[in-house]
Amino acid sequence: MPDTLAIKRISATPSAMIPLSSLRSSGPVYSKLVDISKCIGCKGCEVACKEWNDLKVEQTANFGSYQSHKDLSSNTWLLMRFNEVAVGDDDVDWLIKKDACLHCEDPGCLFACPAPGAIVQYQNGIVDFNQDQCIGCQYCVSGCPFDIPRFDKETKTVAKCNMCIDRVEAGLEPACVKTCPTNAIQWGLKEDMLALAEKKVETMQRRGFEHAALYNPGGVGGTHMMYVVPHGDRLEDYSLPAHPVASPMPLSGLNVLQRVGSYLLGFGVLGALGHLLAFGQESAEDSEGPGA
Amino acid sequence: MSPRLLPRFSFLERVVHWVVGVTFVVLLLTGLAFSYPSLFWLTMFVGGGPAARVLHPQVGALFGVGLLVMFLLWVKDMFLDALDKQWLGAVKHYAMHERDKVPPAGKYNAGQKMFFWLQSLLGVLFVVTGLLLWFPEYFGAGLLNTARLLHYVGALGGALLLIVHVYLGTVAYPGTARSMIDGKVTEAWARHHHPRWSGDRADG
Amino acid sequence: MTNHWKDIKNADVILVMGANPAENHPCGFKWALEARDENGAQLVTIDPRYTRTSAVADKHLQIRPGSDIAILGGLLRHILANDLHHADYVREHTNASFIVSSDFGFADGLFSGFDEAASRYDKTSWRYEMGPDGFVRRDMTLEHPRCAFQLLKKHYERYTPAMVAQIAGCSEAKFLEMADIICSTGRADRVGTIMYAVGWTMHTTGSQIIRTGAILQLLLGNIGRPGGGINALRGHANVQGATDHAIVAGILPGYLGAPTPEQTTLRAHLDASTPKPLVEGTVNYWSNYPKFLVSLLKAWFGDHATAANEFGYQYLGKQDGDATWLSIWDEAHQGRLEGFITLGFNPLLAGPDVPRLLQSMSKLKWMAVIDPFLLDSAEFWRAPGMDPAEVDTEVMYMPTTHWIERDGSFTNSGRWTQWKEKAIDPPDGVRSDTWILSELFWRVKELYQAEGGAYNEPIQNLTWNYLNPREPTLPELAKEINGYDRATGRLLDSFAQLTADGATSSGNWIYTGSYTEAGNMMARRGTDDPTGLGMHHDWTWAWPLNRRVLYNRASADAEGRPWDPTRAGIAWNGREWIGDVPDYGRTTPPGGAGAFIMTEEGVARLFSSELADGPFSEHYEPVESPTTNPLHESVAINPVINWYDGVRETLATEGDDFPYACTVYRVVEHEHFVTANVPLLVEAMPDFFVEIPEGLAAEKGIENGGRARVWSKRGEVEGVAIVTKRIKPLLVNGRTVWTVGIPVHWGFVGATRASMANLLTPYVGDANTRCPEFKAFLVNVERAEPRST
Repeated sequence: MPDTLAIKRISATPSAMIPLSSLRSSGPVYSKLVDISKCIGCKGCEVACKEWNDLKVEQTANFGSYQSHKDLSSNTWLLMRFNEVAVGDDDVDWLIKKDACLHCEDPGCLFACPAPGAIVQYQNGIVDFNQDQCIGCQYCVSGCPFDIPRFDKETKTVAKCNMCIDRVEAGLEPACVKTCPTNAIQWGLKEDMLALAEKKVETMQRRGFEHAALYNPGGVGGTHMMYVVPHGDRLEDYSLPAHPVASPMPLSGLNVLQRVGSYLLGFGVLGALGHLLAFGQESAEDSEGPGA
Repeated sequence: MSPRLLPRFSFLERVVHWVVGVTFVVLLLTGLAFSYPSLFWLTMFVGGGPAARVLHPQVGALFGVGLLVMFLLWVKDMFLDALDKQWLGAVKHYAMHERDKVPPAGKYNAGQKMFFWLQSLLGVLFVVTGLLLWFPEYFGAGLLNTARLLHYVGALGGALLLIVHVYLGTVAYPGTARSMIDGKVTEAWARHHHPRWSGDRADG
Repeated sequence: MTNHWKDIKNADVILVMGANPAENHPCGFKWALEARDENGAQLVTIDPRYTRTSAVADKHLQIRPGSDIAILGGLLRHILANDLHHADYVREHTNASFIVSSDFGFADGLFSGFDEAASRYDKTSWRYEMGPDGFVRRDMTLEHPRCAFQLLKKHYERYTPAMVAQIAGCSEAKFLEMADIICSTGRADRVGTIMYAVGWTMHTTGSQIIRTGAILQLLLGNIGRPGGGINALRGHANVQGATDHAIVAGILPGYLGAPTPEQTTLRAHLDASTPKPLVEGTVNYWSNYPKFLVSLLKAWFGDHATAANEFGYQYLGKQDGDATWLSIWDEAHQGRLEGFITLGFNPLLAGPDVPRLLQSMSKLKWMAVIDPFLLDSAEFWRAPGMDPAEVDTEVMYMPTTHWIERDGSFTNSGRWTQWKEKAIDPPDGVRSDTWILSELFWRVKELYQAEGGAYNEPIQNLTWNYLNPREPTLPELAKEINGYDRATGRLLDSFAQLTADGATSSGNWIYTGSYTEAGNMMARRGTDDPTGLGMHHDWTWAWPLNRRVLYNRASADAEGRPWDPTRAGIAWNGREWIGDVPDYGRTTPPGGAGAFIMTEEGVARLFSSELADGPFSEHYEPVESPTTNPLHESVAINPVINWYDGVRETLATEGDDFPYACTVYRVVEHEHFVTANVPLLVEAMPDFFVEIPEGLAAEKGIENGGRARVWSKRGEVEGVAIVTKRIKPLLVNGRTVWTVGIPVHWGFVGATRASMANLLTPYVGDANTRCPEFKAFLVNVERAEPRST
């Protein structure tokens, strides 16, 4: 865990317990911006991600697609997903999307994580997994509204894109951004990326994509990897959830229940004590009396 | 003069009881650690967070097996009869130690029988939701999150049952706990708490 | 490229045809996307497949493999029928006004002068009508029935939208939508570019496809202008450099002609190679040919090249036949080739008809493979189906450095010659190419010294002046290529300083100026761009003379005013030309000479006698075609292609069951056959596959992700089926035609192994270049059973 970056949240750790020294407030907040209309699916980012982060080469097999792996894994943090969609009788869209952690402002993984320190969110927007603290429960996996973190059966920990935090800490852009040949992935201050996204949406609308939209979903407080999507009305074709939420229903319910539960358990103990005080013990010998 | 003792639980029953009891406490403590960051330190008793994550489902499996054996051993005695139903109506008097207003219980009173059914039900819930959470890579997020919720609800219920159980078995009714240690109860205890069972025993 | 990569950002329309830059040129392709987004440019693709380029394009038109000239001819007709051409440009800068001989004609698929017995054209009727002044007769009104413009109009009149649709299999409406976009740049304020690659060249009509594209760009006034041009996207990082340095047959470095046996003296060679001007006052730059050739001979033979010995002209081999790829291996096939050295190249996988190629290789006595990797070619004797016991060829393998382990230069598609640094050290014991070639030279020379023999003199007299003659450094070679004044040793700045009297030397005249007294110009990294057009004259060096857009004089009108002041190539300010390095004398006033200084006409050629198969292009079917040629059934295929012995028998004919059109291509994850050794790239694209349209797959019971077998009359391949919506059925001549696609990157050596695509392709080439027809042939397809593991 880099100790020079200001921390925003730590999993299973009340904010009051985060050392003040690491809670430096105002600093740069970054974001990636992926312009799907400029992405050619070259997988340069996929390979650069593996090279920089020293991720293991996996044995893949073509399964009837240009897509390299069927799914993300603990050694494949970034996957280009290819999807052919028929348009009318005669045309086709080949939708290609960079799939990796979106680095939510309100990270569902972090909220779901029971292990203190296993997930850290930095002020700069990066949500990083700390495998040393990870207990392997995979609550983060089901807590993620984008289905991103992946469990490693060998190390029994969960891994995902860390936004090349080591590069960012050194003032560099993430490896995927650096390698992208068409500038489809850009990197900068979130406010600048938002302004750029607005321009890009206008460009797409001019090109006839009337539903072009920025994907920076409010349900997770916005993300630090945002997309500009040509077909904003067909998010499902890109496997992007239309309304992701940081803590969706069962989990938000659980949060409430846990609070209630802690009181209930207290009441349980107190209730027993109260009963004892009110009614005392009931000994068999007392009621029977001697000589029975 | 030492009081006359009646055998109440066989060796097997006691072993099973303690297996279930001890595993449940371990599960409860590690589970609490997973649920409450402020209690995460509890995992250190089993060797830390990752170990707790590994142990919890394994202990859970033992707990499940124990609970199943327990169910098989005791289920025949756990069906409610007419007097049990009256007992349930008079549970208030039972709680207020007004034993004369409580219909006589057999080997198990209706409260214990209800406890049995409840714990069996929770057991099924634990095992089913626990299995999902043990192998999350095979299930979807929605199902897993629901399982987490239900697992917690079960745990909460189990924890409350545990409080009641320990309190009644140790503090509230002295003489009860030893039935799970040496397997015996005094005849006086038996007549007081389980008159119909003590009668059976006397007849026998 | 006439232009360069970054220049594509200046375009209003980008036609990608016969290329798939998103896949094969992803870094350069960014400029197309920049034009699309920043310039409002329309980016369109015309291809047999919907590619990764199509995925980000504004519009895509699917055509049948081999129907390119039909499409482009249709575009020419669309322009001419609707007066969409850039009239001032066409009149000023092309030979539209030139009157053509009345002997010229075209009928039933044949141009005048066809010699059926020899399968070639006598081109004497393909010439201009000369005036009494010794120059070409012209009609500036372009109305003379025999002016090039009218002949062009007449020739392409037959390419109606209906005819285009019938041949290419697309719908008329979709073709017209596409035509409206592409033909919208015939105006001064609009400019369009064409990006093409081997999807055009690898046909029996490849050169003519490119010529049709060039004519299209000339009619639209797009050649010479920023944002315009006709741009060949070269395959490897340095294919352009390799071509410039004469890696292709029939030329010497700098596109000088290889001497022929008839050219028995230097004078005869120079006379045959130095053109006379056809229009008064034209620059006719090739009139300098003797300076370039003599300087080259001085670079090679130094003091042994003197006026007395014709500057060593007789040391040069006189090429008496064709030495292109197909011909070399045909020689081997006939048992007439003894040995073969392959360097940085995997010939077995790169050529067509692998079964035939394996026979040819087996007839060699020896083959030397010099490469960083132990290639398939080095182990051809154990290719699938081969019996090693039957192969007597001795194969030698020498590991050599990879370019990543060496410094040196890359010349990119835009002619930018960029000096690069070594990135990593080579493994221990691995030698550089220059060491290997030097040793080869020295050992041959020493052997000749000891034993004598034929052709001894040129070998003994070859200049080899390097600090370490056993391993020259690359800067030494670069300086030698640049050239110098032999008296002073001063490096030259420009090929204008070259002389024909032996006072200068230059290893490649077009590279003169790349390494001067001011230093290695190729290593420059200045990023200034005063034009704002991405020319970056201080970034490396571009041939010729650091010019960024060829023929840039054509970017301005007769008075030297740019057609579009916002995208000026060069402009005349009254005293000199400003902007790009002018393709013209810097202080030569406009109107003094024609804009196209390399032609003896001084203008660009709509009508040209340069090519072997016609002064205009004509649609001919691929040699394996699923249909007839509706333009002229009796002359269905290119009449002047060369037929090697036994090849006709390897082609599908009437009655054979090969109903599907097939094309081969590359994917972005791999670089030819090298990256089969790179684990991360094998992971990204692991397996050989076959792309099959959904409807055909359903017919054949082939499932996506299952396996399919594809066979031609020459061989068969098997791989994972990618069943796709991206290839649609075509309606060709009233019949449904399906297209199947196959990537080329796999061989039987490397981390990923599978079928070789070229097991399928035909052994026949373009009528001019003999570039093989990889891109259009016939196959059959069936479901294959899953592989047992």
